Amino acid sequence: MTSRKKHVWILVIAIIILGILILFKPSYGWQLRAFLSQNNNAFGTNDQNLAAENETLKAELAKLQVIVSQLPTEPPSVIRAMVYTRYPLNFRNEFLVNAGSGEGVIQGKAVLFQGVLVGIVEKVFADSALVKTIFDPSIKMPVRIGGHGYDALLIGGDYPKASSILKTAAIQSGDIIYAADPTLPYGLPIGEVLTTSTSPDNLFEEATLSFAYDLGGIETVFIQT
Amino acid sequence: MRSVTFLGGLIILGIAFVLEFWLGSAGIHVVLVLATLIGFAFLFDLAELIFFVLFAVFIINWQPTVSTGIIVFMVIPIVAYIFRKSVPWQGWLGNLIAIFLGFFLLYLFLSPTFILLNPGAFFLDLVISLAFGEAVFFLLNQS
Repeated sequence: MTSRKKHVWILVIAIIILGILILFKPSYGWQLRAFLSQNNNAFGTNDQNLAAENETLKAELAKLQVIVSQLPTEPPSVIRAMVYTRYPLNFRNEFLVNAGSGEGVIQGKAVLFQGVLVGIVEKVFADSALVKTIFDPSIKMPVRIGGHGYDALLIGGDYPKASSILKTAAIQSGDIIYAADPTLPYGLPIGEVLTTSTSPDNLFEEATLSFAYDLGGIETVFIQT
Repeated sequence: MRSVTFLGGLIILGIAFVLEFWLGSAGIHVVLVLATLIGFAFLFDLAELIFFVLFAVFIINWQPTVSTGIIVFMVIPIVAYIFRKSVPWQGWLGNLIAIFLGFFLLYLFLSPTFILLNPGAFFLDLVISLAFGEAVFFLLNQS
């Protein structure tokens, strides 16, 4: 057999093996990708824990100030999941976790990191689930701000913002922003107000958000059931 | 000599992945791997190109199933190969045009409004990927 023919046969076998791995064992590719990426966290673990805990407490306080007697006091049960891999391109912001329908994951449920809402389950597979994060450009979610519960619309993207805030709303930097979406548990913290400005059409206020975590550093999440 | 070029291609593909992840962690989202694969379409034969494409898909696929996005990602370098065979231009020029058109196709298929809503991000990706793809072409073309 000539060298050229040998080369072609090796390629054909390698292509078949790759095809089988892609279809039946994609997790090996995720491990290889994790090895190649080896991201460093932007925050120290302790800073993330403290900041996230601070946001969680602020959200709890805001929730109690608004409708304390009307909310259930028992925390919902959760499923712990590890992050497998992330969407590699610019267009979306989502990641895959290692819990699926087999573990009881349901589409549309909230995904939390240290008690903070980071995304929503978008698609569920047998052993895994795709989570769309709040940094995804397609995210649009009703939220509330601060102890007074001013209404706003969270718009996702690389720099999520709370828009459609009434100009009379007295919001300031540091106010907690929490979920007010009917499909999610009320009061889940999302972030804090960073800066405020007037919308381009001059009709509303807008607020940029600060977050207590680095999305790229998240490795474990909790999925609500 | 052929196996050295093939090995060089594997190493460059690995470098493209590492660079892409590193830039992504800094908030600069580029698709260097696609630019590399399109460059490979002008350097390698079809079997070798298919191997490189599948290897890239193996690493880049983020779901347990093969999605539309991955299929589009796989098809673009193959179309670039057909383009190379159909048009008798200088390799570097064909590579440049193929990367340019390939990126437009990728963005149009996966997120048609992205170019309009985020023109800066798109052109940054395009410029960096064009430069990287051409560098890959010249580097391997000389070996």
